[in-house]
Amino acid sequence: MIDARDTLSAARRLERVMLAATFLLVALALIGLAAGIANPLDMARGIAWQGGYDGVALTHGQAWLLIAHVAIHVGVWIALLIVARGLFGQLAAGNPAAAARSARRVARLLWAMLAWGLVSQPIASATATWGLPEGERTLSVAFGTPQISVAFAALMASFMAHAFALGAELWQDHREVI
Amino acid sequence: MPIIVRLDVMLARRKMTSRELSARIGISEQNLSLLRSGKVRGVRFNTLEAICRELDCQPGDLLEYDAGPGAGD
Repeated sequence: MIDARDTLSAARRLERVMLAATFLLVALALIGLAAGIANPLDMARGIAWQGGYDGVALTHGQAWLLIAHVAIHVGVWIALLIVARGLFGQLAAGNPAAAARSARRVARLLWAMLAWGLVSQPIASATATWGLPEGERTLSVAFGTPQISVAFAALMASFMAHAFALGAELWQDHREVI
Repeated sequence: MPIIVRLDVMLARRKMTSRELSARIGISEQNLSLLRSGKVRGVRFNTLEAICRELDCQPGDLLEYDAGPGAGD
């Protein structure tokens, strides 16, 4: 018989780690949101500075667009952590079929994160520099190490989801052999 | 499935309860019940060996092939 106790206890630990990470990220997001509501221009200038656009003049509309852009990033991360927590929770509960479905959702979220990362850069650069005179406005597209890393992670997660589905079928087969 | 499990017959012949057999061969009563009712996908050789040892019988005494109308299910 296969002894899955080590795997199940490791999954339980990872479930707790994911839960803690989710709480931490939600807390940071709420703090960020509160700071954004209190002073959207300062928050947006910080975001623009992070993107390499230092000292740009921003309107309230631009500021909220930049804040929304970051909020979507954080939202995808929170969704990813929640689904990952579900994945490990289902593994810990000995339900590999449900874990395989969660693994597929993790892969889809990573692909969504990559797509949003590629789309958001032109939006953020155009938003941050919209107030500049003609000729100084920027429309940038980024494809570097961070995007390649996310693409690689999404690819690995997709393969892992297939492996999970196969493992779940094998586990079911194993359980039905006495 | 055309394979019929005759474990009930052997248990009756040996005057042994399924609880006693499950304790002797080290599998749960629930799994033994599934095996008795034929609701399993397969039987491991070591399970078969343990049952044959405890019931003093051959695998052929426990399993029967019946190519009746249900054959190929």
